[in-house]
Amino acid sequence: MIDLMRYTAWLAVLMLLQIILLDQMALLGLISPYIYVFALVILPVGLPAWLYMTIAFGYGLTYDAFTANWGYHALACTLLAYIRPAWVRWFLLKSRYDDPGSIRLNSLGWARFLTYASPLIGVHQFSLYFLESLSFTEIHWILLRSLAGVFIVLLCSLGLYATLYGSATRQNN
Amino acid sequence: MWSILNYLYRIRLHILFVLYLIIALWMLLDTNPYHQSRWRSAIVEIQGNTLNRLNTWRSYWGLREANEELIEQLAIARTRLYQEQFIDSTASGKLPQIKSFDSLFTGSNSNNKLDTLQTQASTKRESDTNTTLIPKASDASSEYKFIAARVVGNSTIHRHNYMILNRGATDGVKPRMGVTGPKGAIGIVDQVSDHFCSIITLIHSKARLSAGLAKKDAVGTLFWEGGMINRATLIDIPMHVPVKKGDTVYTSAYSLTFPPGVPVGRVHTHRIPDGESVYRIGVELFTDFRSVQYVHLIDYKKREERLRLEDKIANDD
Repeated sequence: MIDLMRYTAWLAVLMLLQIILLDQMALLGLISPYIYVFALVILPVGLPAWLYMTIAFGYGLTYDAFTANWGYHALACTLLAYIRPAWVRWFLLKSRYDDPGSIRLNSLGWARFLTYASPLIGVHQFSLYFLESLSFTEIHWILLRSLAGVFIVLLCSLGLYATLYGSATRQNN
Repeated sequence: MWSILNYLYRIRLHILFVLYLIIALWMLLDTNPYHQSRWRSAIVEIQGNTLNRLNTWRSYWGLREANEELIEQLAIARTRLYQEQFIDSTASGKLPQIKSFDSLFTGSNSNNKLDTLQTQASTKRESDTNTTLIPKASDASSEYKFIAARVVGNSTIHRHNYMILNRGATDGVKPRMGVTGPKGAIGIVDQVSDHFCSIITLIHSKARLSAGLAKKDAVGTLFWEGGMINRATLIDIPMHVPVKKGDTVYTSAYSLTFPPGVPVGRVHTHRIPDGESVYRIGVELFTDFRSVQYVHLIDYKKREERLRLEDKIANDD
């Protein structure tokens, strides 16, 4: 129950943050920090795949509703949700992680969490930038923007995560 | 049924993904002008490419239809050209020239065409001054008519070689009609059904054709002795006629099946057998009987009339 509330809170907070604050920013006029996707990445891996995909689709669609660009983020989030189960299976196998119920930064450690999260965010960013330009001739440019996007999303969201949980941990101590 | 449902249940995640993808794409294309235009241009591109490829295929498969159309047109052109030449030659007081008919065939050389054109020009001048000499076009057109046909069956390896054409009694085909191909004479109609007819080709052991040499008033009989399918024998050309290798052999004016001057082949060998006064000429046939695909049937309209007359003469004798 607590988990449900926590993840719902993550989804809501990041979405609000995205709409209210980050949508006003466009770094170098090219890269928008789409950090809302981080909430999808940290959702428990134990969720049924169909439920996860539906949540992702609805979450993307919610953001689309605020930007009046229907279908754009819904598609990118659905793609992320589609590949995540396979990626998680592969990742758990490789990293010999013994708690497959949930992937958490605290238990995984920074390096392994980054390894897990970067490709997922990368797919999301790439599909967004690709949908934006719809051109294969600019593929190198799209890739560059996606990489920069991954970096910024991870930087912002992990900063937030560390701030929240770091302070929580300190309070617990 | 159960296994299908089971299968669908197993791939439910993929189905869901495709469903969401379609919804998202639909929304994207429905609301975003840029994506709409990109999508439309992509569709046009795909359409164009597909149609282009289809057209290439269609034109390849349509070659038969194109050929049939061309051969029909050629039949009309041959009929008309023969008709004109008939008028010209009659107007100039001559019988239709053997060589002039050659210009209707692809094997003709440009000199012949030039001759024909000159004859036509001079006749036109004459016709201006004396129109009564020219027979009515209907007279000439009633002489020979060409019917285009496609070869649907062909044998070349027997002693009795036949061809089957896709024209029959309903198209106006009658027994004993002559058949020519793009390069020259092919054979004579034998059996006729409603929609098909069989041809005794020149490489049939019983085929006989009245043939002669260009510009020489000598007529003989051409037949096939068997063996090579591009060789026939011409006999009964008198020994006083100068014959040399390479001379062209044409159908004669005595033929009841062919118009005079249809090319048949060229002289390959010639000799006068001991104790005889006529040549035995080896003729290299123009037509490659293995590769013929389209032919023209020649309807000689005055054949019956001529036959009746010949019968009458024979009976009188």
